[in-house]
Amino acid sequence: MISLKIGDDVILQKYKIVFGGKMGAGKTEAIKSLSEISVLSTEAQNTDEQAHNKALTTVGIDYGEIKLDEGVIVGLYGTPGQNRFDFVWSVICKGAIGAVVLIDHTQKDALEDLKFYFQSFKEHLNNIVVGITHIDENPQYLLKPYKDWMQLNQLTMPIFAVDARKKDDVLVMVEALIARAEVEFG
Amino acid sequence: MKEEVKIAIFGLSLNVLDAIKQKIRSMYDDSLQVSWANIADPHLDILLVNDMFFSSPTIQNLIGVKKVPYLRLINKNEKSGQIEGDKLYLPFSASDDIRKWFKDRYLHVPVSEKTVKIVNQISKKADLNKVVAELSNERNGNVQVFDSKGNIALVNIRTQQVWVDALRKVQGTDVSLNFTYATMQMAQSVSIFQGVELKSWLWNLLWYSDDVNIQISSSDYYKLVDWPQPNHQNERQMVFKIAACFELGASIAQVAQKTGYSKAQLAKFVSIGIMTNALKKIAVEDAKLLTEEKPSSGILGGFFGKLRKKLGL
Repeated sequence: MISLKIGDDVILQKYKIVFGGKMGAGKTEAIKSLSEISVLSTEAQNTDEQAHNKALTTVGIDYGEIKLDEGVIVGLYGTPGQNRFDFVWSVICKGAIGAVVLIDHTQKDALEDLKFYFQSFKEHLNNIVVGITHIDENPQYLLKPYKDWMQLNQLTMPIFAVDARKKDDVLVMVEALIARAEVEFG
Repeated sequence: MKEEVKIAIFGLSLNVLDAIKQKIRSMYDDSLQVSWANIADPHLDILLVNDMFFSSPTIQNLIGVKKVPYLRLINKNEKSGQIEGDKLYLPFSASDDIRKWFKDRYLHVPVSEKTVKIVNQISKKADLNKVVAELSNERNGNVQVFDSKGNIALVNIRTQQVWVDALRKVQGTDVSLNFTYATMQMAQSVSIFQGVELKSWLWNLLWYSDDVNIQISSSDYYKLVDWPQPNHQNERQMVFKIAACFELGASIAQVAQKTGYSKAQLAKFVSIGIMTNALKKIAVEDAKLLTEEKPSSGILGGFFGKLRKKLGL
């Protein structure tokens, strides 16, 4: 069993948006630009020794909130980016509106990162939007290699070049998530 | 101040180009300044084009839509120095006929009716669809995109990057959209800066244009293969909802039923999608959009409405 807590408060909300990506890809910045509370760092505790390696018991997670009427909260979760922490994803992604995958364009293996995060999230949810960040730091190319890979694999998820520090760029990704969810569930 | 005649020469090697420039300059007297211009210049007086490039959409637009007086340059020793209709045979010396042609163009003497007729017939062949298709053709490499209002952007088709002209204030374009090949110098001048994404830029350029209209049937089925990213926040909700529907595969009629948007809006979305390869036609059995409302749609619709309102979407 996995628990998500800040102090004694459980922070596993009914409505969730998940942000995935390597450290430095912009998860915390993206959550900060949307959250109505200060972004908190917490830990997910894995106490299910049967299902997961005992040695790997805690994972750092960023957490923010959007507060709607009548006490409804949309939890914003920034998930860690390593394989060994993927036990957290199944819990956070369950019932989530969708996931925003952020890829640092300056990384040599940026395309491999996209493949990894896409495959990992795809096991838990369908609604995935990709944001390519730090684009100004590598002007040799833009979205072409990512789009070529998507086309090769017949994937049609939204993929945008974004600055995770800019609220409007983050809203573009969230709005695409919402539009896809509205069509899927509406 | 001297009066000016603006001349563009397209498609010749540098050596031939210099020789021709000297000869042309010598044909005008000193009171007139001859300016050598790029074919993207919106105020061209004369265009001289290597006959090999005559049928390109760019050239056809200049002579057909913009009515720039022109001569096709053809290498043919046996006719060297002759002007026949719209053809000038190279190499040439400044004969009376040639002098007269250049002076008449500067004085805006109309080109003979026969020539105008030929040009008009050719110009009908150039259209927006073909130009947009060429902007997806990687063989074209670096190109400069322009229309009747001037330069729009420099595009590297191979890397799918666009550097928009900072002076360009108009969002859309029209049937005068065209391109010419960019010089290495132009391409290198932007290479250290990140551009914007080609498909997304092209989609926006067409979305804010009035002349986009291709024949589509509302009963055909389409599937989105590349998501657009509208420049303006106030259009994102509509564009993204339509995109989300077509991502599953649907007809215009189905998306109209699902979203409530007009068939005209949807037809424009589909037209641009087809032109930019962001949308493809599919068989009916590949269309997966469900138009019936689900039992939970009311509750979820309320939730998404509140979330949109909170985020200002």
